[in-house]
Amino acid sequence: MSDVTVDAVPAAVKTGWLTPFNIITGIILVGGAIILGLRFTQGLAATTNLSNTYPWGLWIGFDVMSGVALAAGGFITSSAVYLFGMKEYKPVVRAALLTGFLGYFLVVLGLLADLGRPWRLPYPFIRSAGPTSPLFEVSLCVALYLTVLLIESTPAAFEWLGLKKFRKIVGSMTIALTIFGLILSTMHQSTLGAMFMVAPTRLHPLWYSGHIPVHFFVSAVAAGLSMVIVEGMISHRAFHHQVEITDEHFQGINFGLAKAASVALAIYFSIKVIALAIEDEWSLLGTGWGAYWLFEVLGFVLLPCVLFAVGYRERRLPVVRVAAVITVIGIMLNRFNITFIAFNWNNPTAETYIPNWMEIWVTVAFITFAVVVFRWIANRMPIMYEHPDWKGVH
Amino acid sequence: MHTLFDFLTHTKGIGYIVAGVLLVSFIPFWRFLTEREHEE
Amino acid sequence: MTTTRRGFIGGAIGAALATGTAEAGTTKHFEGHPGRYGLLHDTTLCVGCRSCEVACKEVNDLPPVEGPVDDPQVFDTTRRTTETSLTVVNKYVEATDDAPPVYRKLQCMHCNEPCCATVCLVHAFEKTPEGPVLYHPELCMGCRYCVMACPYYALAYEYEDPLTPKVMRCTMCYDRIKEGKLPSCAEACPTGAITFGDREELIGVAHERIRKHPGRYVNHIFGEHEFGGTSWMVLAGESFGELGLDEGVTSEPLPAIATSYLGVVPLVVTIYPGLLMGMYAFSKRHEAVAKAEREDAVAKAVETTEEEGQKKIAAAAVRAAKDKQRAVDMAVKKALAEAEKGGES
Repeated sequence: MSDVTVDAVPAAVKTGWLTPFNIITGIILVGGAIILGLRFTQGLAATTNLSNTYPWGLWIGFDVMSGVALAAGGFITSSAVYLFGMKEYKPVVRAALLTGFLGYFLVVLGLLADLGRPWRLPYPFIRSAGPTSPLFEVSLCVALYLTVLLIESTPAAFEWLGLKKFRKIVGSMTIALTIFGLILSTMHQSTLGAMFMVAPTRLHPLWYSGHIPVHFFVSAVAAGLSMVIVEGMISHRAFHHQVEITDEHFQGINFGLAKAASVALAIYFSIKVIALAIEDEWSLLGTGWGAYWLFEVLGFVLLPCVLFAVGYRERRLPVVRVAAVITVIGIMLNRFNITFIAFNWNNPTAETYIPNWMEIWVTVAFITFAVVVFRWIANRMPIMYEHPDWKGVH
Repeated sequence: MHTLFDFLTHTKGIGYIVAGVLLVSFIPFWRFLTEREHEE
Repeated sequence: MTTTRRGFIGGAIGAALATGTAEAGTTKHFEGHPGRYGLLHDTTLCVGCRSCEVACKEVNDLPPVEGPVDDPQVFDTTRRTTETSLTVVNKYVEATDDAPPVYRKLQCMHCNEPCCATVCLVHAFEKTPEGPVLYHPELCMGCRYCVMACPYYALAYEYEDPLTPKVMRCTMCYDRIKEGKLPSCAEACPTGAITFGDREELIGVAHERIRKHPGRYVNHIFGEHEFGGTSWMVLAGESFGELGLDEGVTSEPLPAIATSYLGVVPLVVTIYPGLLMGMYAFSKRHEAVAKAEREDAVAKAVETTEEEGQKKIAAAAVRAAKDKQRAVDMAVKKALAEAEKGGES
């Protein structure tokens, strides 16, 4: 006969903090932090499989090389909407820019983990510049572009905070920022490819080319367009309650992106074929590496190109989405090939490199971090919809 | 200046600065070019 | 013409890239610092004793070689330089009945135009007037682009060091040379397989050796021109491909190849703003014209509708008037007819 009720449900669950999403992401993030702690107390040798022959592995291949390519949707959509007047894509611009900002932020995080002395990151600009290095140009452009993306992400924050004056100021800078962003993106997307021009004997000739900067830029366009589709797939559903445009409009956007992606992939395929012709490498296609190259180019460039085209023509969204996912995987595969698979293909020690679980965990943790931040922001700020005070304003 | 490396360090260093200055000066140039368009 | 994979690749790349220093955006030619040192490695004299490895470790305060120096099993694998072994000797050809085994010593080649220096974004490498390429760890960020770029796989990195890792590579015993001494490997070599001296003179020495013993040497000095030339040059009795060197590569310096694309940067920065503002203005104009045409069409449509409306009203008025007239005529006719009828009764 007691009227004391035992509260069996802990307060944290009652207020909703211990959701499955938070628990899983929490474990991933904490694990990542522990591994990074190891990295800074015991060296890269303790947490990676990097070696003297393979100085660049998953953290460079994914976080830097793939990350930058996949974040290209920001400059593509903002140029389309603000420079070329394609207003129908306005609903996806903010999400694309936010994805871009978080993507580039991940690049910096990846570098901070991978660099031998990350606190010296500003050295090229404040202590000793090496202007002959393509990496100098990449770091300068990425630093500036991160700033541009940050500013381009503030309108949503200012609208949310009701800071009308600041919102107006950054709004007036849109065109200049978009142009500057397009300049910076053109340069660093292509220069990431140019970084490999120094190693004609270490990168397999089917991937090495005098045109590799162009290959990187065109594939980044395809990657960016595909990421906007993939990211839209997820956020459109996750934030459906916020979305104001009709399903028809949203589908129209996806089909427009598919059309552009098909063209980008067609161009990319063409220039890869031209690269074979220029260096007279047709006979290499008959080798083992040639088969692998064909696997990458036919399976992850030509195939999605056709799928995008068919999906657009027949107006079939699932086909478009499959093509987008294949393209994203293909870009990652291409960057991995160039960074550590087809790179050192004939190294004298017959060493190979495979990332260890800690490198993979940290990479997944970085992505998780970006997803968590995106979700937090999109749940509060006008990313997936237009703020009522600013409807119709750009 | 004995090596190509030294030459490139010199020219690229200047090149970045020159390009940066030209980029920034485009803004006042564009404003100068188009300011009369708004007088209507 | 070699048929090794390396040679084929090298030849293909060489053919494609041999366009001269115009690649770097300049037509100038650079001879390098006059009077700089070099080393000549005559692999036909090397017996694989590894005295050079021992001497190098001693002079650089590095851990000694593992196991006995003369352990032949060391040569069972192809080794490379590491962060504790700045030079290693490999056996490339096994002994035969009438020929001894062939060894080669590996280390940083101290290139005339170093690509490690070119790719370093903090300018942590310098090509000294004396010849050695030096590394400055106080600037290094640890990006390892240099380790990635070196075609000779010569650079190593201290991955085990969490906070102060450095790139590790042969320094050509720079401090010793400044004092007038020999690099320790050259001093330690008992067979004369390593000769240190003025680079130009060494080239002459090498040509002389080839001329005197044509059956002994391949008629080529590796490192004289490859990728712009190296300080460490190699003579061999085998094809260089057999000794793990990239034959047939271009004489174009790697800095030229590595930086050729960077010439685009100032062009993009200065062309894009005008071009993109032009596109923006064009798309705004296109929008304005389209808007004006739309408004025009709407106005016209309204006008036409009004006109037609007027016409319809006018026509209806005419019809109404006609109907009225007809009705009046009929009424008059009826009245007259009735009047006539009334008159007759």
